[in-house]
Amino acid sequence: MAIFRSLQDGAFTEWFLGSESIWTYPTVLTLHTVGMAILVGASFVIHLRILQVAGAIPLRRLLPLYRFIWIGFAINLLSGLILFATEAADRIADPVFYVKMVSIAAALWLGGVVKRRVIVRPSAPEATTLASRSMAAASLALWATAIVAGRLMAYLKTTR
Amino acid sequence: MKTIWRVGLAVIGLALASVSVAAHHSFAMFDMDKNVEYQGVISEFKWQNPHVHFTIDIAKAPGVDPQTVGRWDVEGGSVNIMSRQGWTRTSYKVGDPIRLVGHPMKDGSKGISLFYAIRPDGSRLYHDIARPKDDVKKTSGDLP
Repeated sequence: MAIFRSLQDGAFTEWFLGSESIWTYPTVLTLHTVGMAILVGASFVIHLRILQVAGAIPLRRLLPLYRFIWIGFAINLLSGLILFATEAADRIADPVFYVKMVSIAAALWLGGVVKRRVIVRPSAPEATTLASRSMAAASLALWATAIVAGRLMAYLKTTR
Repeated sequence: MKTIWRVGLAVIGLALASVSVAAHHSFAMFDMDKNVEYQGVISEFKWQNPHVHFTIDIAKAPGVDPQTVGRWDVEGGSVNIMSRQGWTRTSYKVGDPIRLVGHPMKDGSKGISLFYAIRPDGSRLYHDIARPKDDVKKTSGDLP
């Protein structure tokens, strides 16, 4: 706990949160939002397609979208680490933060399973199975949960 | 198709849930039509994003509205917004007396949305670009 407290109360946090420049906190927060849009947006397109939205698109044509998922994830990992550092002690004791993190981890893992079993597999039928549709629906729900938990963190926290 | 509808409904439900929560952090929780003057002492001053916060202690005293007595959390804007109104991280420090006008919480809890602080010379430090009709450099009119 001491390390999280020292991160939250440290010189970096004081500078970062107290800076009057829009290139510090506002920019990192904006990047976190843009990264989320890229990451979750690409993931939604893939999983909605598996749920037969725009069913005429061949599944393999979705493969380039995974690059955007990783670009979005990289942006959000970096911006998220910075934002976490400034509230480390509060977040590490925040159940909603864990809901968000577990949802993201599960969504990424499930996304990998879907990619291997449904998108990449050469014999994948274009008409997707109930199992793959279920995974796609679960993925959408996990990303939605992560986003809602992320927003709730700002409103349910007991410290400021 | 049934699955799609179910997923769609679930996503819309979650989105609506987050919207109602977001509204909670707008100024809706404050009674923005009510301007109350508070006079106390700064017990904490947090100059930080996303919202500047400070805590004031108001003691019982002659001339002090009993309803304002206690410890209050005062919420301002972002650092950038407030600095453009003339605030700095040293505008106030712990122990400083402060006189301010703010909008109290609708539910009666001890939270205030800062409208403006009144400096000893009567000039005002605003939270943001919102101005009362009687905006003047020194205290006058209906508002303190």
